[in-house]
Amino acid sequence: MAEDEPKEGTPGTQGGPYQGPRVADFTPEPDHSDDPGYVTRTRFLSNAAFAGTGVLAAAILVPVVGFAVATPLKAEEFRWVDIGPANDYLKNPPPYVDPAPSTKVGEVTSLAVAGPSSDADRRIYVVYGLKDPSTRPQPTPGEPAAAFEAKFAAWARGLRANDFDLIAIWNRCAHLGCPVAYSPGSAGYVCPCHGGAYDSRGLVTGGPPPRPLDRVDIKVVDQNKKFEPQDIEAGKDRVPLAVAAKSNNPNLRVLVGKPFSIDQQQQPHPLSGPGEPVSGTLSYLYPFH
Amino acid sequence: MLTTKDIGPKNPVQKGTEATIDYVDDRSGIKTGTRWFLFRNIPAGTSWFQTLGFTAMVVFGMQAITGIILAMYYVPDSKGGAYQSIEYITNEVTWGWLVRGMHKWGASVMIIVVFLHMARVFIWGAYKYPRELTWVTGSFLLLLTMFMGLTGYLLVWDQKAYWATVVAVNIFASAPIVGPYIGDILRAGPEFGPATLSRFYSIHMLVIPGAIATFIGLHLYFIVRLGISEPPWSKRRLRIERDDEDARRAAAREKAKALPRSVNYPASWPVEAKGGAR
Repeated sequence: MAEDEPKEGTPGTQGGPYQGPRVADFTPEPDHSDDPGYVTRTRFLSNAAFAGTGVLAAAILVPVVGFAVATPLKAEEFRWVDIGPANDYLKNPPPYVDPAPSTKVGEVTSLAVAGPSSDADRRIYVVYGLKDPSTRPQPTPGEPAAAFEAKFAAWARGLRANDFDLIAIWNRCAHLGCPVAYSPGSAGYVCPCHGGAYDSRGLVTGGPPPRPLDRVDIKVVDQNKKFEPQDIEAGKDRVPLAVAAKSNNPNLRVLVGKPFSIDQQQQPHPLSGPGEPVSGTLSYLYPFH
Repeated sequence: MLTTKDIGPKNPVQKGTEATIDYVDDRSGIKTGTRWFLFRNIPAGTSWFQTLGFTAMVVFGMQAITGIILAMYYVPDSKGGAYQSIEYITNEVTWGWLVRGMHKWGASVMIIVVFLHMARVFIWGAYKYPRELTWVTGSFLLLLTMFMGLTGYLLVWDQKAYWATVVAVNIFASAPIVGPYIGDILRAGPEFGPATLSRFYSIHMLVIPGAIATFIGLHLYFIVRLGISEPPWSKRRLRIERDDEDARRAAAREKAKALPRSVNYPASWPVEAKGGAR
């Protein structure tokens, strides 16, 4: 006991036993560090820091991604472009059809179009020819040449303006987008990249293309007549081809507009990219246009 | 072990070098880091085949350096300036033919080396546990390398580059559902034009190199952390794989024993099929 007594003169130990606060007198702070549901100050601050960083990252990345991606996804705008007087395209009488065995169905005019790049050989082929080339008589084996020529001449005489059609074909190959070229010898279009072949109306005759060549809307209008935009939308400004072909009115002009895709039956579809079928089962792989 | 060389004054150059290294090491731990990164234990049987990944990284470094230098002369101008600047680099700039040639041929070399590296990893079975994430980061590196080739090919901006890239992007664009959008984003619109060239230039110069560098960092981290895998003919690896297989079969046997007899052999089966009177 004598050893426990403080020595005299030691500061702070005079006046008997220790009277100050003891550890046992304090209620310990509850420790929540093992409780995952309890939000400690540290946990709150780190979560707030993560959330703040996320907000900052979004504030930077959302405008950046929108800048890079949104403009290319905008739909293209098309306007009608005058490509010349109707008399240049609609021949009256309709183009003479040669009785020699040929797949030629009419006149093809090639027009270069100013695409977004001068390096792209983008053009439109304007075709004035037979609506249905299958009506053309074919020589039967053993038939005398004179008899066939007489039959052919009768058919050619019977042709009316209504049997002819004016179409505009875009030269972008329906396979992977290379520029097709019109070859007068074979009366069709051939793609230099992978050998896609089309007839003079742009329908696939061979090679990999999944659909015919795309077309461009084409119409004949009288440039002296004015129409309201909704009437133009409804097609009221269009002069029927049969009328335009017989007329010598120099005010009749040919206009080309918006491109569209067709299937092998020449039914129109919304414009699709190269490689996309527009009819059949595989067309369901491309639902948005 | 002390030798006589450690006694007495040192060569001042050596002394200065050691002092500098110590100064840096005290503050950065560079010695430990270098030892961790480079002086690792490798399995027996490690051969030249395991150097293909490093080769690919060296070729990437060469592509990065020559690419940075080429960007000093190249002009991404779709009105003919791009091709002119490449002609200028090839014909006028001192060693331009060499630097452009290194970049052009290095691109092909990189694709070849990356494929050889991938084939090595595949044939060695080095992608197996625990190295799956190394394989996944490597797959991203392969895709990025291919995309680097696609975007770089257009920059020459001649007819071959133009139409080859038109076809390549249209292949992207004919992917189902999202393809048309990917195509439009890549060519900055429905048709190739000036915006496509600058977009490809930016992707080729800045976007993909950053991504490749990031993935190379991850790839290296996994390699250093997990170590090089043993060759398939390593006796140790064969023993471990055989033991694993034995353990798996033993576990399967135990599981089969634990099942009730009716599950093992349905009552409808003939007695012979059940192995007679067992």
